[in-house]
Amino acid sequence: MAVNGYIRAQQISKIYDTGSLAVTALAEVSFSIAQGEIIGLIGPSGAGKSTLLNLIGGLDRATSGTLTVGGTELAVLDDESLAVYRRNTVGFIFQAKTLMPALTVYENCMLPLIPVPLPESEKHQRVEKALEEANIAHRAMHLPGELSGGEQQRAAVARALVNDPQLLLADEPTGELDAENAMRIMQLLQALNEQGRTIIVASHDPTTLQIANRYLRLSDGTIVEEW
Amino acid sequence: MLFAYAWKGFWRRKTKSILTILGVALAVGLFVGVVSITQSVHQAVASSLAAAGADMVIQKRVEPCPWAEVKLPKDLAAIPASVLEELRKVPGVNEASGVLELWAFHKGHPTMVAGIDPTKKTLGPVRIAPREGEDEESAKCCAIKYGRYLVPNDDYYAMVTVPYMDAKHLQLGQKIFVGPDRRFEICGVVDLSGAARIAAAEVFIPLKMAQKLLGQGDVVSTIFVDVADARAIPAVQERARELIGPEVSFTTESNVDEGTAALAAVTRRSMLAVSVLVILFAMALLARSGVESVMERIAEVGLMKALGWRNADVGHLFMVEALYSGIIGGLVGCGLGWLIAWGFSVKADLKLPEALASFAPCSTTQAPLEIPLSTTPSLGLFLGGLFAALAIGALSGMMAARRAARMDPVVALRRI
Repeated sequence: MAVNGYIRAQQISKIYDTGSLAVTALAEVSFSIAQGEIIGLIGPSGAGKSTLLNLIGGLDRATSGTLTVGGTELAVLDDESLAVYRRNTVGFIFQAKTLMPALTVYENCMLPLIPVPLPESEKHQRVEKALEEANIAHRAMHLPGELSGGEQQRAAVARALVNDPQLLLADEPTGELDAENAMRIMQLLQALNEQGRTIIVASHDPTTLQIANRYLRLSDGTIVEEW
Repeated sequence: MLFAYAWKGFWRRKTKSILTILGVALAVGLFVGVVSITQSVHQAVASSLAAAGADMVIQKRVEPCPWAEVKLPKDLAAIPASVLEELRKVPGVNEASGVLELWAFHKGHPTMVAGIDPTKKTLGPVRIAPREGEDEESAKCCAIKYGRYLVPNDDYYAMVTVPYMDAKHLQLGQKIFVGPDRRFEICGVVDLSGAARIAAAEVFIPLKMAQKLLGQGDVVSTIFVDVADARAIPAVQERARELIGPEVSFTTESNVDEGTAALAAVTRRSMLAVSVLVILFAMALLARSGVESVMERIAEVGLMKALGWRNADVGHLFMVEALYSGIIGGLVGCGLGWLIAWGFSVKADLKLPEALASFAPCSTTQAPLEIPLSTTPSLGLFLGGLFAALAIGALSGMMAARRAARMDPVVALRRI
């Protein structure tokens, strides 16, 4: 495998040491992802999909190996630099239940921008643009509990877009949606990809990943298939 | 924007926020209340010295002699008036004035008499002018209500107090018996209310006439001393001991409040110590509460970190929320503390020690021993209370910020 591209992983492992037991979540995984690709991560629960997303997203650190995103090796970044990397480069699309229930959709989308040193007007512009892109602007002043499942997920997508990230990481974004809403979300991700963003989507359901350019199948912490 | 978000978050968790504010308010309120009460009590009892224009009062105690128609009251002893001149020579002494207190019996009934020096208008139990730098309102002097003050060449003239005049149905110009057979014309009526008076009396006559009545020569029973600087007091005390002897007693601002009955049970220091301990306890409690609040919001913290918040940003959020508790709790606490102090001042019943006023048990009027207590809000105390509240909030915020910084976002996100 040629290990070059926007995202490059070389023999990365993640081992969780719980004291009495060491759990290998990822075992010497290597891959390369070019800029602008949509990658589907497939595998059963516990295969290591979320762990891989967390490592690429800078939420966690690899135990060994090299992981480079956009030319930046993540292992050399300290906690503060990793936070800035997450802020500027990555947009995490979690499941809709991660929306703060006491905040409106607008306020949820503003959350990533609160500590960012930008003028207030620019922050509002970014939020409004992200809401438009995710097609949820008309529900901006509603609380998450007042939205349908699909609308909540679109709000989660909007929140991931406010910092205009080049890399979107989606962990089971359609997990609790019906087929129709799941398709709408994937179409939204495809539209975002057409703007040049690199997208990695993790799902245990391969039928939702029809938009992907390439697929990586994980099992027990290793990539068992790639196509 | 962080402040606005923190403010919203603060009120989203109403119950916890209100309880935290209450905790801070109670601790600060107790501190402010105790300090305010002790300050006002100290100022009030010290006002008895201020009312005399004195920084120190000197007396001598002996076994009382019960058999005389004109006698020194209780266990007060005669002090030679020459001591005054010697005390005036001590560096730092502005002025010294002598008063001769007497019980003068007429047909078996005592009158409380004080012989005062008419030339000492700013120093003594009845003064008619403020000291240099004092304003008339705070000096509690200038007691003439009707008539005139005694003058140096007065002999058989007297000033009486308002209660004595009312009790005896007296008028200006009327003559009264002072002692078994001497009559004095009332030239003035004095109002001694508004402060507790050391060496107060019912009737004030010229010192030389009081000395004549007693018949023990040029003597006084109480010496009022005005010093330029409180640091001169030890030297004055030492000289007074040399001149008067070991039975001498001194009353100054620092020891007069220890004699008042209200503070006999609980000293100022122990009350202050308790209030400081309460502040420290509140700090510890709220610091723990701050850490617990981070654990309650673990998912929120994980999400923020995933969305690009740095550890410092998360820490700032918790610090700002904690400071909101401190500011609001501090303001409420200062108000509560002042209310506590005001309530105490309304109910408190403070009196000067009986030793400082020599009225006989069967006297016509009551000795003016009541100490009026007032609590005025003090900017220094308000700022001190607010500072204590902010310190409580800051400590709580710092503990929370540290805990949040150590939180693993991956572990935190699993809680969602």
